[in-house]
Amino acid sequence: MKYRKLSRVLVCAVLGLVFLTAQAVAAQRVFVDMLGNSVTIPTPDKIERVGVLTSPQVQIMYIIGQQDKLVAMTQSQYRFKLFEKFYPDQANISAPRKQAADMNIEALLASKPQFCIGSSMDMDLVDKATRIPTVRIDTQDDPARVFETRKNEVTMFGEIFGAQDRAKAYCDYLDKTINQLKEKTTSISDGKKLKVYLGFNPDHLTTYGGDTFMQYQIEAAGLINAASGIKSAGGREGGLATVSMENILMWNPDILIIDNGTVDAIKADSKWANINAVKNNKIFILPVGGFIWNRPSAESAVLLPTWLAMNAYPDLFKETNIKDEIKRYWKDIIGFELSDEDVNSILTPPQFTGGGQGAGK
Amino acid sequence: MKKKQTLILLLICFSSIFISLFVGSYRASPGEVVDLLWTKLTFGDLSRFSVLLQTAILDVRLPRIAVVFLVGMTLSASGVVFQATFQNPLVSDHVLGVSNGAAFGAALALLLGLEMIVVQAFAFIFGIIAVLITWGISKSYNRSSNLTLVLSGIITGGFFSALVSFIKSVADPLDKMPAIVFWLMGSFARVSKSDLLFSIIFMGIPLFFIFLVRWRINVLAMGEEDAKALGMDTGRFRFVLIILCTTATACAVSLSGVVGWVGLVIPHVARILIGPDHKVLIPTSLALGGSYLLLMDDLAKSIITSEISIGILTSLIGAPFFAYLLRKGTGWK
Repeated sequence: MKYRKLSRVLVCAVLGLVFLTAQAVAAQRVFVDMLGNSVTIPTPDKIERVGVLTSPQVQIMYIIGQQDKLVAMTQSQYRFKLFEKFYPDQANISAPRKQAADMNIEALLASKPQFCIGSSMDMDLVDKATRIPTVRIDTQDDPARVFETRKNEVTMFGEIFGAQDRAKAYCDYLDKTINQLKEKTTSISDGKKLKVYLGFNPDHLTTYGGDTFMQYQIEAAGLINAASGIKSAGGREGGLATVSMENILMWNPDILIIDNGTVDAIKADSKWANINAVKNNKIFILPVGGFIWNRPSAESAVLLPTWLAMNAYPDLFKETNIKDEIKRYWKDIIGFELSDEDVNSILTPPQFTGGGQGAGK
Repeated sequence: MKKKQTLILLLICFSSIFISLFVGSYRASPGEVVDLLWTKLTFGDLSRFSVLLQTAILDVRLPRIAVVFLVGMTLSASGVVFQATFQNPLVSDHVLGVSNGAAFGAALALLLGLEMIVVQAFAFIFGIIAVLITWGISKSYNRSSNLTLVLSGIITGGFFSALVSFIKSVADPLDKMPAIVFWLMGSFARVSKSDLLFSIIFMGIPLFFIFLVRWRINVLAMGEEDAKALGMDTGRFRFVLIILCTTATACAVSLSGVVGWVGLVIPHVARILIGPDHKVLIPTSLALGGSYLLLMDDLAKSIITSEISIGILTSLIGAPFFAYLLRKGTGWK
């Protein structure tokens, strides 16, 4: 008796499963991600719920106009309020990924994504604990190919969601921007190029060396990375290294970029006082837009070199200004019309961001 | 202390300081450095040196040497004092929770996005608060002894290290978290002239007092009962010593972050070399500790193109070296 009942249930279950899979398979396809892995994901018209679990790439969902498909993302995304202004629902998106290799699997499952996109480290965690298909982005590409990598990422997102046009618009925009910068700054001979130092953290002693993506973003602006002689073991997309004040005094940079503290505090410090950048009043605070600009992201690939070049060589960019450039990017690529106030919030970011904790559920 | 021993120690100190004068990422020939220092010492005309060279050597390199040396002396002397006070060869400068407290203070200030000077102040204050808590816990027991103090230190340390982890977990992973991680690994890269006065007051003066009363530490090392049998009440002396060491260590940690193993390895090396008499053990530890950390810092500055954290170096070198020492015997009686 017992067994007969059980076998009936089993048969029903198997039949049901076969039916469901058949339906699902019809709407699925095999996709090859940036690392060359094949993964079965829904066809573009069937995608409704997706998790993007890598911080710098969440903005790509906006670039290709698919933000309404986001059901899971990384926690730091809450910090970028500009997106929230134009897409208030961002505040309600679940954020199961806190930081690298720190994933709340239950929250991820609860958000019911059809598949997830992220870096290998995080996708491995998802694979290990769930059956959610995972698409990987490439975080280990050659840093010299920084702009190619950004385009490849956006292109892959475009293909997944069937938004190739929007993806191509971004790639063209990036190419055009970098080419224009090259044209403008090509007249500057190597000896006349200015040297920029990017000093992160409160002591301004953390920077990106010559074997990182930042080297090439700085070169694209017609500038020299003061720290190009520094080799960071991390290299690649990471690669922050600590330097000493002696390094900075030796490099004597013409331009100084900081992400913490104030310009006045640097001017008041006798150690910094005799550096060219301080003497010539060329100290700038790093903007924060759709993401912090000192990381590899689609936005900073376009806007960081532009911003650097305009600050370094104002004479070459008399007919345009950075505020209009930022507005143009956000309008043409993301489709959001920023107000003057929004642009100011990018150029002079609030110092206290509340530790990146959002109001997400 | 024999004359010869004193001479050797002084020689070690001077040579480590002399070598360090020429190690740093600002490229200056030894001749230039010596010329600059001599001109400065003789109140000569400095205008023929570039302003940047002057800043690099006089405001950055020299103060860093002084601070590193003071921190090295502090960590090793605190190690000796704590080992004697607690009659335990395995305790070091961290025993009462000062490092964990300081780490928490720094992490908190970095989380709040405060300036570097405030970060330092927070580290210093919380280092001391941690030791006060340790003291309070041990006093709350009916029978307060060395063992309860050490255990209280472990409790406080564990508590603060959990708080540090908590701060790391809520800190913004994009920028706050890396700043906290870099700070905690320990580095002298951020040290400069403005740290000198603070270092001299909170490390130099306590060390000077410890040096003056070094012979009395022998009495502590005998143990409370033996000391009482000799008619000495060690309670107050012990308290003063702990206050001195705590202040100095909190100051050291607030400047450099957590630099491990110095307070454990150097006292044992000194004990093997010179024996357990604190009259000579303290000066030996001071000299060896300062010189050792200075040479480690020279390595931190020069083995890769960027700065490597000194906390990593002292542990990488200190831990295996300690294992080697244990093979030879600890010199502990």
